[in-house]
Amino acid sequence: MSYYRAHRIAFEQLPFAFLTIVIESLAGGILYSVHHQLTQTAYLLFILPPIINLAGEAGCIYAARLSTRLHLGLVAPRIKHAFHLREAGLVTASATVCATALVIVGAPNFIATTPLLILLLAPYTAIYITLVAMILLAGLVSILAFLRGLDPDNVSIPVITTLADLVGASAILLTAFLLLS
Amino acid sequence: MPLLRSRELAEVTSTQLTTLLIESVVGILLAYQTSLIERFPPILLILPALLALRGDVSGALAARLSTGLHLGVIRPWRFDREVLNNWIGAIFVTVIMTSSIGILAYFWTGQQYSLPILVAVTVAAGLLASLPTNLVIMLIAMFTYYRGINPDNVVIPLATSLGDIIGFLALLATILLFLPLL
Repeated sequence: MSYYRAHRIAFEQLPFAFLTIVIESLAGGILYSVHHQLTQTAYLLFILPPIINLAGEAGCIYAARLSTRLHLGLVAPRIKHAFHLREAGLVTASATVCATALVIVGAPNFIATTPLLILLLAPYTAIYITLVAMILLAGLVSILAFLRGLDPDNVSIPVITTLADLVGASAILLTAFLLLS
Repeated sequence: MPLLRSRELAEVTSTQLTTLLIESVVGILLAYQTSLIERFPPILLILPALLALRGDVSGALAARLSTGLHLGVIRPWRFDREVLNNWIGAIFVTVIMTSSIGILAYFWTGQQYSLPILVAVTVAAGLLASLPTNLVIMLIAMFTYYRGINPDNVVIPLATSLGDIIGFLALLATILLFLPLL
């Protein structure tokens, strides 16, 4: 008898996969609603996949580090500790380097078609909007999970990875609204 | 204690920069397709769900292959029933879920596009992305295990990054194929 069975693999994966695509379709719906602005400023399309990826990574790093500190007793499980300056500083500094890298990679490709202000500001604007949302989300989910006796690692990471695309897409929407209007 | 430790910052930044550069490739490919997006805007609606699904299915396949290799249920360079069942499971999930993505896109776009064509596009793109991604994942899992490297540490990050690039290219190719019908 086989150890792995195709139907078991499928039935165990389908509910989670369905939840993922419903939430991802919301992210897609946000992008679809601003497709005119995105096609007019292709630079926003360029920064979209890195921003979405960065949203997930920054949130996961923040949540995982906060979870470790909660388990070690280095931080009290209180809502006011969801935002920790040192931890937020770490992910913000890293994200700032990434935003700069995006400008450096994007500038040669899009300088002819994108206004300089948007070329310079769009990655930073989108990344900082994403960071604020992800840090608050990661902090609150981790603290609430810990307060309820759950391991934040098991709760916050799946929640963050699922919602990261939605947050990233919303950040692009806000960036388009702020910079293009 | 200093606000930021340079070693921690270097560790976090180097990882994020590596994945950022991979995602930038997807970004550049996407940015050069503005005319295609104007002709078929649902590409932006389908893309996040398709890429997330690709990551989910390929990531789970990578994790199962790695576990199977560690348990001795799957043996390196043996393409037997265990490997086949893993493939069939992944393909089955891909077909069901990509059909659902097509149906969701149909309703989200206010039924502007033909349902059978949207479903055909998403299923074809999903399958087109699945086959090479799953094959590469399987070969890398077996190769790393064969060389004494833990596949868990290598295959899952690779599966998600590789899945994004292959997934996007597959969607692009499928839309170009179906463009006369859209």
